[in-house]
Amino acid sequence: MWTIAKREIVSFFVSPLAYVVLTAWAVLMGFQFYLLAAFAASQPFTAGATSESPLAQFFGGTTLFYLCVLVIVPLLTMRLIAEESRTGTIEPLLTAPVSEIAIVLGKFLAAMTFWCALFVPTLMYGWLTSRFGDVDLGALGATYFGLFTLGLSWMALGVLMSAIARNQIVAAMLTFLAVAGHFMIGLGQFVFPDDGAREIFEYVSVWGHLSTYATGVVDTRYLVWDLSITALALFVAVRVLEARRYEG
Amino acid sequence: MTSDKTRTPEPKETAEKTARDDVASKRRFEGRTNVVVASLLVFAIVLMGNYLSFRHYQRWDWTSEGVFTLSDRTRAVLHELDHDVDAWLVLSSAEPNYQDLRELLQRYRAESQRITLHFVDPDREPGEYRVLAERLRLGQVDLGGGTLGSDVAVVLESGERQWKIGRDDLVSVDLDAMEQGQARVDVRSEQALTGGLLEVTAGRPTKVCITQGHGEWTLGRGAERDLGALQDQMRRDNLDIQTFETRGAERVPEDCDAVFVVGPTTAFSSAEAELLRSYVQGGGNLFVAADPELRDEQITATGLEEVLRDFGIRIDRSLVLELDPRFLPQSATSPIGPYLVASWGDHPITRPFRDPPAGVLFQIARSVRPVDPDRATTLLSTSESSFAETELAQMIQRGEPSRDDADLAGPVSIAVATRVERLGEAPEGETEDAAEEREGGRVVVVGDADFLDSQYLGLQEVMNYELASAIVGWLTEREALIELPGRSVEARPVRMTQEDVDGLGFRVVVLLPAAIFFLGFAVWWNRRS
Repeated sequence: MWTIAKREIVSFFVSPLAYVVLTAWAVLMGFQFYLLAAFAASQPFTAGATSESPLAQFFGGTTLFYLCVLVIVPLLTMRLIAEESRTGTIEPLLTAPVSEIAIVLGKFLAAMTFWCALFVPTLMYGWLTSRFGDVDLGALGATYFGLFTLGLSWMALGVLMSAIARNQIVAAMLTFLAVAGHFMIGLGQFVFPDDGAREIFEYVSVWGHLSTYATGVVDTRYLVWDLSITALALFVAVRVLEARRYEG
Repeated sequence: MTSDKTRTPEPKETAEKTARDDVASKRRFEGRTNVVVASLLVFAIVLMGNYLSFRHYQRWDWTSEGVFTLSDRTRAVLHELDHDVDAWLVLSSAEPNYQDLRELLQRYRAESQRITLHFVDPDREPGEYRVLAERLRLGQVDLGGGTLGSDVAVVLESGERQWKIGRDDLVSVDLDAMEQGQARVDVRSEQALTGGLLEVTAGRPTKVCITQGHGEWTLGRGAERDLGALQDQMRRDNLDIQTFETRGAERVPEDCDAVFVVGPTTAFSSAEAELLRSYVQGGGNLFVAADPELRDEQITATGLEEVLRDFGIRIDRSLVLELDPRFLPQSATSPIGPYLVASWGDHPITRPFRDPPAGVLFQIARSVRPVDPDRATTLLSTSESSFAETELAQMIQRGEPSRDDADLAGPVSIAVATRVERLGEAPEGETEDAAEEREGGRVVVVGDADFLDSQYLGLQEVMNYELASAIVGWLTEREALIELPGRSVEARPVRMTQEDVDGLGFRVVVLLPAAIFFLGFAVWWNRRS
């Protein structure tokens, strides 16, 4: 598992394309943070360590943030297994003395490393905000924890789609459909007036989860939901590879 | 002759190939079935786990100041809830407090499944909001900028009982602190919500009975001595109000949580006084606002003196005179009144007013004192320079106040509160909690009724309205509202000049991405070389 993860991580970080993607990501995120900071500066009063602060608004308080995330997730995961299928290297991998679980977990670990790398530059936003107002480190910690759990579920979905698809493009499209679908279902909380239905939509709402984490609150429901998707997606991915081994 | 290419397969080969295909197809089918069945099984397990998680969950507060951590008092109230409560958050999600308040409500829900949350956004769901506003009688006020809306933020509803919490009850920002570069946000949301929960889940609505029959102040507006403003205030606090004729009554109505005697001009009979004594000793609560009524150059008796003395409160037949000009309004210079009283005793009622000391305007007051300081507490006293004239006839004849040995020296107590022991002897081995349960009613006596006048209650610069509200709150045993501490969240506000914003933009939009790009370039160059 570690060998597979290490191979994926190294191949990602030595690729120039990875840095182009990371640079574009940093520009988009930076521009978005700049807009929020400019807005906060124009307000008569914005307490630094509250849910109104630019930092809390940045993580999950705007549509642009989710648009960027929805696009980057398929880019990070599409090649993980689908590329092996396309080039035919999946066959030797499946016949090698390594279990399907190790393959899937190795790929997933690599994907999580990419995901975490995306948000490392945003740590600087916290430091910059602290120069102009208070930053609640507890709330910031909860925010990154929320991003991590969201990463678990969406990277797992990406690994699954990459295992199902036979080429990268299909994998990317399937992943985009899966994560965008997940995101869209959650928007039902803003659409359905019925309280019972709304409560269920809130339960799965990515927007609601991240907004809550950004205020400094960690809810076990959101944690269970994200871990459930992670476990289910990885389990099915393992089974898909097993089935492929049967199929020869 | 037949070539290999056109050779028809032998039946044996065909059969072997078909058999191989069958085996492969079977294995493929088995493999896929295995995937589907196993996935469905795990999906079912995950679904059950999520159902349990949906029903029973925890919310951990990671904020540095524990902004969303509920107090032990609130948690105890929530765990003991025995009625279902619907909580309606009727703020727009664009409002600054929305997210924090929503979070707080979620935490209440996490503690008790008795609570059902409803969120209705007036901007996003105007139709639903209108229907709800009509049903819950949210009312409309001018919110500024020509915007009409309700100042109600949360409505708690249990059965037919409702409790409304206004915007101003939730959060206030200390503007003075802000000017010094600090933002202090006083979060009173929990105080308001828990108090409201207690109110809507109590057995029945709190009812205040106003005595009539002795020239007391009347309900409604328009009369010379009316309780219109106080009545409006109590209605806003969701209190039921009714009048109660004491003459000929055998007992105080059982559903009266507090009896108010406001400005009687004639004396209560001994039977009526005993009626009130039994009521208080049985656990009822009593408020007496006794004006110094002059007749034949003497202050008349209220008929309640003896009963109140037994409760530990002495109503004097004296007139309080304030000689310190600092406490006299500019327009009035008479020491008889009106004057400000700003010396507060230590009591739950007075805590909001003590620091910094705030003033209450009194018209003409008599002295009201504790018989024994251990049994009753002075709420308000006049200044050191004041005194209470006991010989009114002499003062009237002289035409000016003159202090002598018989008078009460200042500061003069004019408002007293006490708790009365319940009738009957304490059982042997009674615990402290049981003794608390057995305690009788609460009594507040003020030596003036005019401080409740609509004109005084409407003055912004004095605390008459707030004092009246605190007395009503304490007497109707809703001190949970008083005793739950508010939270003070301090945070340095984000303050940036345009130059700061531009500098920040340069760092996050240009410098940081450039650093990543050059890192990538360095990796690529290193590999290339």
